[in-house]
Amino acid sequence: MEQITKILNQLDSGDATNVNQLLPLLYDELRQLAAAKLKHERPDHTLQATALVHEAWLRIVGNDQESQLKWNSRGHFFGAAAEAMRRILIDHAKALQAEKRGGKYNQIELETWNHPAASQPDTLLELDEALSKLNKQDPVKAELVKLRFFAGLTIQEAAQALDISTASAERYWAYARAWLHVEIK
Amino acid sequence: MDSEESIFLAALELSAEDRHAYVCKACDGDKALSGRLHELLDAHGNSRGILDLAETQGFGRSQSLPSEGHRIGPYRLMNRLGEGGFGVVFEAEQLQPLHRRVALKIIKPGMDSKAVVARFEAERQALAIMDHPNIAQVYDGGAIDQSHRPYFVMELVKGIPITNYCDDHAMPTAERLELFITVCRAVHHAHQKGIIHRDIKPSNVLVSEQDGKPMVKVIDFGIAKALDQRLTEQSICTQLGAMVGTPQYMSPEQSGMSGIDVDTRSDVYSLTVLLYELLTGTTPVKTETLKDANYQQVQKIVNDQEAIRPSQRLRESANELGTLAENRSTSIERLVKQVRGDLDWITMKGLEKDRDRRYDSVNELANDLQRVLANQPVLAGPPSLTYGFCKFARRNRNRLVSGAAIALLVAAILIGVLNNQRHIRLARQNETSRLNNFLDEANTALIAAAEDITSDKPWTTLGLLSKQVESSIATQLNDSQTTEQAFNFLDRYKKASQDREFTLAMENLLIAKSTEQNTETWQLMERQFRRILGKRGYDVQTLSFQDVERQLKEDRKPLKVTDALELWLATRIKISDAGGQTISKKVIRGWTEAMCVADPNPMRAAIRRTIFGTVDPNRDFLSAAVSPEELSAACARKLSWLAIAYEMVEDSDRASEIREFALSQHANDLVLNFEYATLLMKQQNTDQAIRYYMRCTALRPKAAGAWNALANAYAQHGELQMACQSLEKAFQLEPGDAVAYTKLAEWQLASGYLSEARQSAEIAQSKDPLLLLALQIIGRSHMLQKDYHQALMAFEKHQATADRNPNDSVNQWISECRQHIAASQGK
Repeated sequence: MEQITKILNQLDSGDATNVNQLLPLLYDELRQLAAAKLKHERPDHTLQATALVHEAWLRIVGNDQESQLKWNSRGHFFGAAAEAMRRILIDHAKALQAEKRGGKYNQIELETWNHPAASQPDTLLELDEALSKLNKQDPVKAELVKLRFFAGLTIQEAAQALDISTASAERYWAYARAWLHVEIK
Repeated sequence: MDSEESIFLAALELSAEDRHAYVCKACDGDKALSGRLHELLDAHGNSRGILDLAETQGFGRSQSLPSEGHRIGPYRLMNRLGEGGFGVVFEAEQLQPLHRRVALKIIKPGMDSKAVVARFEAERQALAIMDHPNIAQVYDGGAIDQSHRPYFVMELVKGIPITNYCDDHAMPTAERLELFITVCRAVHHAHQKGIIHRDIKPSNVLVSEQDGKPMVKVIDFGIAKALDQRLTEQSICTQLGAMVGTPQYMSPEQSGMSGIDVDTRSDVYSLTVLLYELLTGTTPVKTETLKDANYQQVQKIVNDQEAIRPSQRLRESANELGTLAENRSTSIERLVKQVRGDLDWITMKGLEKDRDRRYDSVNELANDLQRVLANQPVLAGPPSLTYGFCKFARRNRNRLVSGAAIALLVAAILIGVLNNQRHIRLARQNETSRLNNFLDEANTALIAAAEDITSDKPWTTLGLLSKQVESSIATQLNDSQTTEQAFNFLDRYKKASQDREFTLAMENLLIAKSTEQNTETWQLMERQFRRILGKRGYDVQTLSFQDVERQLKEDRKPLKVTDALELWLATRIKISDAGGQTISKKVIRGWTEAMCVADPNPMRAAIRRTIFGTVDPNRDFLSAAVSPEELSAACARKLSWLAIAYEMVEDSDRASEIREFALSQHANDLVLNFEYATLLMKQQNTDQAIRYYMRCTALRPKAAGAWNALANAYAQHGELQMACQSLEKAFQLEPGDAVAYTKLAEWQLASGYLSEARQSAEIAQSKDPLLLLALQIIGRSHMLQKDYHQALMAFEKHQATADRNPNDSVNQWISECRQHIAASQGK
């Protein structure tokens, strides 16, 4: 956590040398956070994957409104968090597929990641493929989808992280969403 | 011409009707583009894509939830009453058409609100006609605009969960039962109106106080159905971000594994869980157990884990027992005593995994509980013999004190017959009705035992009863009709015992079949199959195929015998394949066809023909004969044959699918578990294999083969101590041979139990003096205990026995021992 904060502070002061470490650090951080949560929550209160990202963020910046607005590092943070969450979920989906519990009696393991899509490993992998296609064609829209879908940001938050207007973000989202759904149909 | 994106975005600004015309115009005759745009627009209109899962989710932050003061339709939110896995409940003010306070439940985002509302609407009529003082009415349901959140409006109940209420008021067990019976009557009322609750749990059974008396209200009728909650991976985890149905209270059929629809008996199950909790303070499956379980494990637990009797659970709750008793205004001993017996049996009946064995209705459950309160015999019950008498004694306490009654009681004990209520009564009745009563009981026991053919308990009971019947016949022969019935019973008992013997013998052989596989053991096994079949009247060496066909048609259990014949034939072929006595293709075909005539079921016939190679192994042939209905109707053994058949046509995926399905259907089948464990061992998955072998030992603690296999699995997993313990257990049941004892000795040596290792090795040695490994172990154990003289003796004996091929490491040890001896002498 300290290291993440350090990198984010560096970013805020314009130093991007360590930005590459952000992803692996967040990956571990999110996993640990999830494991810790699972241990303490009651079984009927499972966690939401995307809520984890938000919680990780709050742990770094605190509830201080001012630091919340440091959107320079914020964008980096959520970008890296979305990517970390994407990898976690995709790894998970692949592991599920590898288990080949195919056929009618398909049983899906819940595991740690309570992302709404975690129970649809096949669709998730298809989406991921479509997303990388979109990324080649239009990286900003792909990033927007990642932020929305994997990190659970609202349109406004994602717009802020990407430094675009909310109206643009809404239009981008509408198009990217339809485009991806057609792609994976 | 504009780009795809800009046309798409522009079209979105238009109403749905105008879009089509606009797209056609904007595409200017480009068919591909307009097709593409229609696709995109369709996708836009569909709200069920994977990305929409995130859309409605947000961070679950509170600002996105409606809060106090918010208006939803004609309701204004007031206080927040509570929050659960499903969503949030508010106290709300209905402003029109009538002004009243209601409870408004807002479901967490993530559900298809349209479908929820549609399902709710479908049941609305039925919900409206429910009219019971203990049922909270559901007034309305809908979706909050835009946010896709379903909500429900219902009668405002300000109460606390029944479990908390009872504890807070230190309610004694009897009062708890009375309150619970009220709940049952309310649920029964709903059942009569065709409404199943589906989510009965303490937080849906609220108690408030009215005029100093507890007032029960069952809330949330119709909601679970509208939310369509089953224990699916979705409901348990993802969509709502929290489990909806609380798995502790969920019936096996609701857990979604069996695929059968939920009916009123599902509520019987959940209510019984609630009863269990009221009695013991815990649910049958403890909350802690589910804490770390994933979806699949939850399903398994709900489906397989047999509940512990409430009295047993109380005894096990040693630390909390004081509080539990205090909360029930009684002492520890009395609490256990109150629950033991009737309440145990009632609870166990309500918790049966198979709903056919539960109470048929909630009312029956309530009636049985009422009987407990009135000290009358209950419907539910174990095959316990003393049961009826205790009940009788409690009810007739005054009368029993009279001398006559005591004399009767003493007489009953003296004759050594069962302390049964009937006996007391019987002493006053004539002998015939006495025998009749015996017969009644014996016949019931016979039915129960026949259903549970491999368990020891019902059969012990049955054995006792049949002896009783036998001796009764001997003493009175006055009523020919009754006597005839008695003989009839004895005959059926004998036949059922034969069936049991047959089944048990088969099981043991099947276990042996999955483990031991050399020609010699195959031959031994073949002889045993022949012996078992011979005992049943099938002499496979002399009977013609036609005889077999005919005989099978007349057999009580033709399928069981076909099973055995198939196994016999399979072993016979194995021997032939291994170079033993040959069996011709013609003979194999003859047997196969004879069995197919006797048992023409297409699936079973196909399996048979595939396994015995009378048709060319062929996936399509096999799959064509297997329908899903057949699969679920198939018995455990046939499913395992089917899996083998699929393995033979090299469809191992399908084979393991069948095996898993078989286990899900017949979780308590010894052989299925055993075979699955053995398969896991072959796949090097020892960890899992151990689990399934353990299950086998739990299912049939007297099967030495299962303990043996478990021991090997432990050993392979590196848990030598456990391996030793299991093997010792196996030896207690069936003495091992020299090789087996040597194995044990090896494990003991490796885990540092030196004396024990030597002891086992000595047993092995005494069984087979030429066993070199045993001698090595004896020597090594001495050596490790620094008894070099003894070690030297053993090693030298070893080398002498080994004679022509002395062992190098033994030589090494010998010289080590000599050095030590020399060194100590030098001192």
